[in-house]
Amino acid sequence: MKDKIVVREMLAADIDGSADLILRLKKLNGEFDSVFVVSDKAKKDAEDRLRDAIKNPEKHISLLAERGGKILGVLLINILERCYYLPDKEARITDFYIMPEFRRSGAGKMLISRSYEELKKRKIQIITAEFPSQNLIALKFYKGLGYREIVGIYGKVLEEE
Amino acid sequence: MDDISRTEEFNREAIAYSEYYKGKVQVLPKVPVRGLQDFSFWYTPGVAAVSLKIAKDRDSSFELTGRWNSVAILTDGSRVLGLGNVGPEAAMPVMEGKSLIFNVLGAVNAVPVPIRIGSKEEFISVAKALEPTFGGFNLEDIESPKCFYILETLQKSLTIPAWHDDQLGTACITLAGVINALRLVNKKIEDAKVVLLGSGAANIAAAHLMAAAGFRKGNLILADSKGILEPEREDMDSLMINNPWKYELAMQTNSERLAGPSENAFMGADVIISASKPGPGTIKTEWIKTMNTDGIVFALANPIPEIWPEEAKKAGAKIIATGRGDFPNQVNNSLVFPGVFRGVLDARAKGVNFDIMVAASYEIANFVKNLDEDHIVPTMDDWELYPNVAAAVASKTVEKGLARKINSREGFYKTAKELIEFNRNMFLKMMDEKLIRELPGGIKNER
Repeated sequence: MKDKIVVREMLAADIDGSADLILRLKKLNGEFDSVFVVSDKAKKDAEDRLRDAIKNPEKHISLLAERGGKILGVLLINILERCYYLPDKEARITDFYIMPEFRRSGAGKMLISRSYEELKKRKIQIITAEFPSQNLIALKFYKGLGYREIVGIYGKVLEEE
Repeated sequence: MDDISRTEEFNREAIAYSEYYKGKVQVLPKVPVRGLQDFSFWYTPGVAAVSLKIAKDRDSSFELTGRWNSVAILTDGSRVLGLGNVGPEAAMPVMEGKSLIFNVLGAVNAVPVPIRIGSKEEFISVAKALEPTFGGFNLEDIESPKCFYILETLQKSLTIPAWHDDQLGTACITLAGVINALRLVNKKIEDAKVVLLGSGAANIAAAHLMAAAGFRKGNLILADSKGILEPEREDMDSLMINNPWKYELAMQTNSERLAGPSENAFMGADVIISASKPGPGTIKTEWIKTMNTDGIVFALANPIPEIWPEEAKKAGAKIIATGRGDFPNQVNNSLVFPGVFRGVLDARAKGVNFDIMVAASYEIANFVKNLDEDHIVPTMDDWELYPNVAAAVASKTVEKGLARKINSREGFYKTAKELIEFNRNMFLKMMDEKLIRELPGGIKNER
């Protein structure tokens, strides 16, 4: 058997490899809904976002799963301030991607559990996840973890006159 | 006559004869009607008793009506031959031709049923609605990946066999050919590295069938127009959504983790099975040169193989098969489906699976007695082939618990042989008596 899957915090040295996975995620979103057309600068966007997340750990949680030094999954969480409501903090999963061949390996659940430990330390009680409504695979995954629909974002593309 | 003028001649004849005969098959009575009084048992009132009997036991429809020998050739006309989506009406001449082969080689009553459907789900509901009439379904000329969904769903939900010939028939004869080719070069199935070039209906099915026959999935390498399939290829997520069948194979095959353009896969390969773009030049001689010794190349594209056999041979390939009858080793579905259907129908099968298909492939492979490089598969005029395949298929169906009717292998052979011979004699007699009209232009019904 090969090396074990390890989950750890993302470091600056991981940005390049992790950005590739983020890019795959955005392209996957495009498969579900034509409103998600991946731009030419998406790779750079991903690198910038990861760099920002690593630099500001109080506002983000950035984790990766690897095996034998190869990154096979990433999980990015933003810590949001909640206006009007209690509790006043919420963790929002914005980017979560596992390489295809590791999708039934438990790597995804390992990343999620690790993020829960981190949230517990920070005493954050609400976690939410955003993903395209058409992504039934993500829907099934989160429902399996006990998540339910909380907010909906509806939209349309305005036609030109 | 060169290839082009020969093809033009066939085209001209096909149109002229179609206009003359207006259809290739018809429904004919098979019971005597001595006078109108006989309708009292063939039809009302007597027939009501038969209906009641079937109403009490639906499966008795296989014994009291023609259901046992009836197959629907179902198509939506979405991928007819190499013509593409020509629609159900235009698919009819092809389905009639298929029906004719079913009848002449397998004594199967195959009814052409091209259907107009708006979605794959609608195809499923039409097929399900037709189930009570038939003993099996032969799906034909349906585009990929829709065909995978339709076949998989029907196989799960029907109590009669569903067969998609472009997948299963092609896979079955391919496996038979590969079994014999490997025997000739003394290589073992479990060691063979096999490259499947083209990942459409035929090769996706071939990969599954080969795995069922003992090939190691890790030793199979699939490639498509974008190159070698492997789990890290950029378009894997897109495949997961749009073609999960191809996606699953990408996850399970290619343990070497080869990547890049398909020629990278040829290095050290024992077998190439190409169901890809018509050639010549789809496969390059330089690629063949990188194969393992005693390379086996199946170049199955029609009308022009991916590489001409003599070129492949010059580049070092030992055994070459194509889809064409004018070269040795024609990999032809017609060697498979008449016998397979004869077999599942005689066993009144509830379904068909890969184990049954592997049995059919071995039967076809073993049928070749004087095995050599140019004779790895039988030819269509090997009349003994069909009842033998039928017997192998029927007894495997019994073994797998999918048969409604139990018999010994010898018993199934005898049934199939008698049915095929009776049907053939009837057909030849009708030709001799000119009850089947002679071809126009003074061409005699001589054989």
